[in-house]
Amino acid sequence: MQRSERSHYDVVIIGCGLSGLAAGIRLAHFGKKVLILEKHNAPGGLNSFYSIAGRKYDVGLHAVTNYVPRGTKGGTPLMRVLRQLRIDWEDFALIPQKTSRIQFPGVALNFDNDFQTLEASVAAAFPKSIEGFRKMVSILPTFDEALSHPNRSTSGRAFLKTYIQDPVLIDMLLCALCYYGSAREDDIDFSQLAVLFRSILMEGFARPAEGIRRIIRALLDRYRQTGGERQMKCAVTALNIKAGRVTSLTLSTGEVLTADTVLSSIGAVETFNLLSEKPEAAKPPIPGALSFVETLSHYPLALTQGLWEETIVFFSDHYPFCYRAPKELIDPGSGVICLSHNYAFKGEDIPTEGCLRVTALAHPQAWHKLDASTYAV
Amino acid sequence: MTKADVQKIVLDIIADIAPDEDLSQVKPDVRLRDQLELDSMDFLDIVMELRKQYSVHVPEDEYIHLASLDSCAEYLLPKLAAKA
Repeated sequence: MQRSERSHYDVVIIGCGLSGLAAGIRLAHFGKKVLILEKHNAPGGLNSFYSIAGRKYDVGLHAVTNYVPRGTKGGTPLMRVLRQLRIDWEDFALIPQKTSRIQFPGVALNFDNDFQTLEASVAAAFPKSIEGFRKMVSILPTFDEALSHPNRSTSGRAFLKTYIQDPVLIDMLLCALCYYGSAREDDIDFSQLAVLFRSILMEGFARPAEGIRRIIRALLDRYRQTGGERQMKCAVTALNIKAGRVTSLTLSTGEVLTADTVLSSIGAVETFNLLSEKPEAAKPPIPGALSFVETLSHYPLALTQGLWEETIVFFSDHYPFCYRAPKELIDPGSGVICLSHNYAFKGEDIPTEGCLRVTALAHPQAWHKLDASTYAV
Repeated sequence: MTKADVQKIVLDIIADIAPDEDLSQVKPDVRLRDQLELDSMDFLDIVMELRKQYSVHVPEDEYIHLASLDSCAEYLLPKLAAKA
């Protein structure tokens, strides 16, 4: 598991998050000498975990999307991921959601892991748009089609408008889809719309009782079994270029490693900044404008028993829905509420207290200007 | 080594790759893809396991010979016999 003495690898992967681990497992399966480098002491990247005052937290996980029941046929993403990584179904210990909602002023859509629930809810709330909604669903690209679709970067909003009459319904669908995966203000790429619509609304939500730790552990175990190496608390300080190719990596330890291939999972901007010389033709990547803050509260479960059964609620207290970087620190007018105790937990998995997680749009520069000690827990 | 042995080798590999598939009724003369849920990534994994476990190399333009258990046996028997 830990690093051997050698300093040349077939592949070095920067970042021990879910994508870095998944790539590492596949490469190790294929007999490659592979090393994952991670600058933090915990694995997981954007989906990592931490503890404060005896409570365990996930950095960002509300729900695992793409949930389908065990044994589902048709090559759905979850089943394919498990198969390709050779991870057993039980190892993720996924517990399905109860029910979820998209809430706008005076109108709500309910959905769960059965698509008919959403369809019935749309038919009841937007009877004039149900035919168009069904038509839109029937022509929605599959996961594989979406990623290579010629219109993949076109406006998802424009696509919805082609089929759906009611602008409120369009905004309600966009609210859910944007919050779970759009880097574009007030819109979403068409390919991303298709992928997320299927992941969230047609497949569904689940979560391990333990949260993200369970999934990271399953990936780490698999990576170790296949012979992959990793080094934690070790940052890459430079990607050294020779003749237009990255041929070696300088580490925070001062060591230099060589690799036939380097895969970076740390983001385009961060990777570009590590390049020892910038390719002449390359423009520096532009970071996204959108960012989020989350507020977490704990309370005795008895307080909300019978009041809130939802797992996830996407909400906007105004129409039209607005999805852009706020001028203030935070825009509390829309967001995502996650009640992570409201999964169909049984027996010893039933949590002893409730946790309310609210995600809202934030203005990153405004936060960066603050003195962290003024808001640190 | 017989053709039946080769079919068993291939089935054992598929059992590892796709533990959720029922392999008890696989017909040797029917394309594997038509009776099991195997995608192109799964076939890459079958090829990889043949290389790892038996040092048998299957070039990409010969993947077509892995279509059914019968064609696997036909194609792989001389390769496996040479290694044994």
